Amino acid sequence: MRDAAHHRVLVCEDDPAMVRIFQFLLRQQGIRDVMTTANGEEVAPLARQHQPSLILLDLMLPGKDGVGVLNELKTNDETRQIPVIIVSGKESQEQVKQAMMAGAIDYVIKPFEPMELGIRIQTFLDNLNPQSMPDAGGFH
Amino acid sequence: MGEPALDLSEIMDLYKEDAKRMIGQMRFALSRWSEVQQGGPARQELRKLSHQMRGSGRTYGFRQATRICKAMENIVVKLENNRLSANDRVQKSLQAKIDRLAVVFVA
Repeated sequence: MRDAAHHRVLVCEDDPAMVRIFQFLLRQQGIRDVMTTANGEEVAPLARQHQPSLILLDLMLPGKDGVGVLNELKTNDETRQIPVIIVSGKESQEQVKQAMMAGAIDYVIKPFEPMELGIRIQTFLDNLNPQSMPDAGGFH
Repeated sequence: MGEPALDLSEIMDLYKEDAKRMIGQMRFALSRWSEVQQGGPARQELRKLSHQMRGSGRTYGFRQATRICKAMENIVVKLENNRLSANDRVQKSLQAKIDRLAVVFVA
């Protein structure tokens, strides 16, 4: 199992205040390798290139909407295995269902309690099966 | 009793600066009232800003900001769905909410 320092997380969020809190939460868990993008069009190419352990994805991104991004990730052999947690202000059951059906592993509704999201991320990364981990590439 | 809240003091001042900047952007968007009335970029900007601060406000511990921004976002969504007419009363209501929001971040 990787320790936290060896995880890379891709944060896809266009609100700088939320990006800052994600970075803070990840840093609290010892995760230093955090990439960010505010544009939906960039998510899949970044994921293909950098193979993060986890993606935190907002559903309302400029460029391409989050469900479209999720579909793109889950229909590509290079990215389908990367787990995605949706963090969104969209709170209807239909939107949650749509995202989960598209392959998200969790759905966190904004506003959220930071500690709760931190625990969810930590628990998820702790339980990642090392056999299914994407290649770490050269970020050690 | 629930879990203790996470100590966000390290990033709180930055958030307050973000919030003040966003409130300024809200004021600027509302000042372009004809664009808000006609569904132009200023209306989209107001919706985006209120949506973002609704999400971030309570996350950073500013519940009142989230309540105000939720009300603002609801108004803008109603304008977009033609369930509300963009009249003077709506303009004043949005202005009052932005003013209340500014007070939240004065301290």
